[in-house]
Amino acid sequence: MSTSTSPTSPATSVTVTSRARLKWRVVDIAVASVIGVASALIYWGVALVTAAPWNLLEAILPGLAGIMNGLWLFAGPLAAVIVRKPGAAIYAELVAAVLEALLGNQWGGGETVLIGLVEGVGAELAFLFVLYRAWNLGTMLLSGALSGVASWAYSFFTNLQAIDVTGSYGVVYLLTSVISGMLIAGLAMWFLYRAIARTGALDHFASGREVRGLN
Amino acid sequence: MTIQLREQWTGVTETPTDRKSAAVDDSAAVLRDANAMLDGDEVCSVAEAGSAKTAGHRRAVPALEFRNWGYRHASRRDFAVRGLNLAVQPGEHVLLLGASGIGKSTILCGAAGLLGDDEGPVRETDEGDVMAVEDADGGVTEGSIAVAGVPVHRAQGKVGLVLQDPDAQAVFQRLGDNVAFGPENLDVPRDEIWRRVDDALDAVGMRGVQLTRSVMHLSGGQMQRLAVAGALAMQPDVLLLDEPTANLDPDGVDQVVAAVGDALELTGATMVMVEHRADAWIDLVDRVVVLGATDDGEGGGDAGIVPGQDGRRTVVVADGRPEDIFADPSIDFAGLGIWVPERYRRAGDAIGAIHTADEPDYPAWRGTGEPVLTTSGLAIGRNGQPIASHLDLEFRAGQITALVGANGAGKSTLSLTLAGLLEPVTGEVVAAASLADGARGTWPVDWTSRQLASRISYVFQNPEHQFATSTVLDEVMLGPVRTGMAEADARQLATGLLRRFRLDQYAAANPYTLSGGEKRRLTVAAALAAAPRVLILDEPTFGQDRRTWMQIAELIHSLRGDGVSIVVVTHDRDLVTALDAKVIELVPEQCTAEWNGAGREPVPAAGGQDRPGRDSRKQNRRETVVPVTQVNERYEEPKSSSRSACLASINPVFRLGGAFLVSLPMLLSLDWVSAGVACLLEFLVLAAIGIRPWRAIRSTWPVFIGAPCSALAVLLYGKSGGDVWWQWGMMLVTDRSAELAVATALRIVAIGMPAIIAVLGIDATDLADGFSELLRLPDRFVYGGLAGMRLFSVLQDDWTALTASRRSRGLGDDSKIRQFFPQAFALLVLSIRRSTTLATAMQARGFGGTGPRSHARASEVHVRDWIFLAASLAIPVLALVATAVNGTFSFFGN
Repeated sequence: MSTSTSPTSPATSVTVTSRARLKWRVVDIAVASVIGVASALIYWGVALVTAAPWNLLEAILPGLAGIMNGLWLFAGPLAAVIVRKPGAAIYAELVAAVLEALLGNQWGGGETVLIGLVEGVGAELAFLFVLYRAWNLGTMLLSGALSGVASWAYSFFTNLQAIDVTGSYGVVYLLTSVISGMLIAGLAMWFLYRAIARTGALDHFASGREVRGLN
Repeated sequence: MTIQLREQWTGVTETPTDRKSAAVDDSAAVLRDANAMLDGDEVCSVAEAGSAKTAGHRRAVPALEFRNWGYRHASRRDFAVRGLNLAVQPGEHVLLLGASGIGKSTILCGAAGLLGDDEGPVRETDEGDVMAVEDADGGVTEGSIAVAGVPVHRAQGKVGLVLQDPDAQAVFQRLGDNVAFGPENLDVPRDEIWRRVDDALDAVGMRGVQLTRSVMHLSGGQMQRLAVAGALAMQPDVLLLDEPTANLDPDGVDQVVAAVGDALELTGATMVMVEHRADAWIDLVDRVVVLGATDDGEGGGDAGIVPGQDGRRTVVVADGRPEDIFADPSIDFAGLGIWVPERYRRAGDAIGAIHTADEPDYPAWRGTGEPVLTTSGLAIGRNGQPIASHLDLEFRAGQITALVGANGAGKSTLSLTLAGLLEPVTGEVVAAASLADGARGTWPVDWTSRQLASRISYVFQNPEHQFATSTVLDEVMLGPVRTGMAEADARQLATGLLRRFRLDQYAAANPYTLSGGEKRRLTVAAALAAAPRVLILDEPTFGQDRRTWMQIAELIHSLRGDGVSIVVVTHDRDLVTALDAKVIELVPEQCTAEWNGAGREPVPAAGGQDRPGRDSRKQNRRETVVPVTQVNERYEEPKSSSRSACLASINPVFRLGGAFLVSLPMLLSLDWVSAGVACLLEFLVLAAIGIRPWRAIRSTWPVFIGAPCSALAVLLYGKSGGDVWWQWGMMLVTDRSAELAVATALRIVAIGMPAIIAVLGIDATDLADGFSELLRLPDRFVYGGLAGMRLFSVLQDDWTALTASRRSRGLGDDSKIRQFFPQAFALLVLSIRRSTTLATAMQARGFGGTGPRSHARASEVHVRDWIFLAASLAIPVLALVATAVNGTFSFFGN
């Protein structure tokens, strides 16, 4: 039997190293992918319930339905602001898209992956612009807005080729997509992240400890 | 059984609070005793910091050694463990004991190499080998851990860890893949991996089990054996078990204990385990280590048991053979929150029926008055499939009923049905007039959410399924406010309840941040606040140490005085004894009842298998046995990855590639000729590979909804030209826009339909293998993503539970949209917690390192895969050639 309780004085000096801030840990990957998975579940449900209101909005003002686009854009900014690693927005959107593709949805299997990639890149750009240093509401709004632009561009590149991008429909659709991206994928996700952090679920992340004042 | 236990132990229970102060005084003496014992012990190896080096070559290197080790989690101000010195010799089987919060799990995680890292600068202090290093998680490590003399972070694969929650440890859908995962991460060659998988499954008694079987249908015991097999396949020298049986029913516990016992005998591995209820394990254990904490600066001489004080150090309060430790009268186990295994229990440790001065004068198992809730001809089940039928049961005020039976026997199904949260398959659950007064009818399942909340409350097994607000106070006020109480009154009531449940200091805290025991108390307080007449608790004592267990048991006992009818779903025999509850056991057909005197002296009153119907109505019966349909041992046909056998034989990566090739070139031209030709070709090809047009349309129906929507937008706002058909505001329908609309609709079908069918049904694991092996995407991300996807099905179950809990709490009457967002939030929090645990489980299998990894499954490529790609590309090429020849090619719709 091999124990003792040797008294040693406390180690008072704590070496804080600033390494690997941008290196992905397993928990970063797991949480980013689960955000993607939960988002896919919500995207899938949203696609079912928004079909009717979509047409209603289009009838009111052509392009107005873009105001709902943010509902498919939030995984990227949310994952990015939580795990704070390069590529997090793209990764989360891709995981969501692959899962959606396997489930099957109205944009087709393979194509969904492409949409996810494009929207993820849009969201990611905002964080790249600030070199993954500024994690604030402003960056989130930019991320949501760029993701909206990506979504708009993709639509006109594919399904809506027949509509003049510079016409009123194109402009309205761009504005509504950007506003929707900012409000839902940017603003709402910022507060969602703060709310999740307050539950202590993000204590493994600098993002969570910052909100809880534990750093 | 319950009768005898009660008589035997009546009057000898003592509450832990009475003894707590004594424990503090005793512990210094305990420590001296422990040290004295150690000195005289011949097997004693040395962990005294100074002499460890000289001792090292005299005797075998310890299998596991902590030297002044400590860890502070990033979110905590205090060290969870500090200054720990402990050495475990090869082949020892150690049981670690200590109160909740003493850092047992942290110790195991540290030993598994999951805390801290060996990168970056390390600074030694003047104290020699005590160093403090911050890791990427923001945690701080002190001291060191060595596995067979090697620093733990360089001993990858030498240590296997099994965690508490069986569900959290499965990374893959298929059973065999989970066992293969550890060896893959250790870069074991493929043939060797499958040999190890067979051996490991053999060792846990799962020989010959179908390797492709889904983990979805395994029982808790089987899942946990699988987790043990997964750890064994790494061939670790040290096996760490963190409460491996806390979540299991008695049968599952037996399975896991037997599996671990056999495996240890076979491999000779060292074992270190943490388990609150160690009864079943005690034969396997040859050394017990009791942990406590001491205040800093007192030189370790003043051992206390109070966790959470700054500067405290972790000390070994006692260490020795189980028979010596548990026989030591100077150790106050109850005060330390430790369950003494039944074999070693002394009078003071035994659990007897709780009695208090203010309890009602009728026995808890009988209750009083007329039944408040009755079932007649009730059949229960989910999705209309009955698992038990002809249930005639009664529940009275002041009565405590325990629903017992094996996992999967339907206890939760029955309790949810009783609570009005699940539709009965046949028959009915009827509320007495006194309970149903003012509600919509007498069937709880028909009541509105608010009517239900003030009458029947349900406390879920996982407290996080239940939280609906952001502060502890709001959580308790929710029920009363929802059922019409004024805000001020509700606040007063809630404050009182929080005081009674000793949660008042947390009133403003976020409910999720409480400890496990506190969360449990909060959910009970919140359920009680709505003043229900019936309270149903699902496994209220899971994973609690002895102290919190006692608190919960006393709490439930005290509710009886309020005239509440209490139903407890449980595996916990001690709880049934303590509450003196009436027992209703659900027994699968062809199984024997476990609770009616099995292996004990016969209880005359229970007399074999009761016929439910008539007999259970007799209120002097203390036990009722309800037969339920057998939980089947399943054989699953391997699931085909497509309705077309041809498609199913194609490599998943090629299927995804084909989906791109068949669709993307179509974007070049927007005209009805290319789109029409492509559609036609696709229907022909799909029919040729066994998917008829009607089937193709049915499985891609969303495309056929999306296509007209986009076509309409194009018709009204599309590029114009030719005759104007109709104009109104911004809408302009012309020859050109009409033509483009038709083309758009056709093309969406031409692009979407084959792209969906090509990937629909692909197995996620096979796709991940392809991503990793063929596309060379990084394994960390591919398999991390895959693990996240497996949580998808778990999250669906969570969603169902969240929906039920919200109805139970009076939130179910809100509009769908108002319900959706808070519920989605709860799901997100749950999923993040689950994924954090999953990350730990994956790292415990050696995942996430930068070294090479092998692959247990080969992602094979055949000639047919290339033919598939070529055929996929041929369709759009032919379509575009057709439109070019026809002169209708329209580049990007221009």
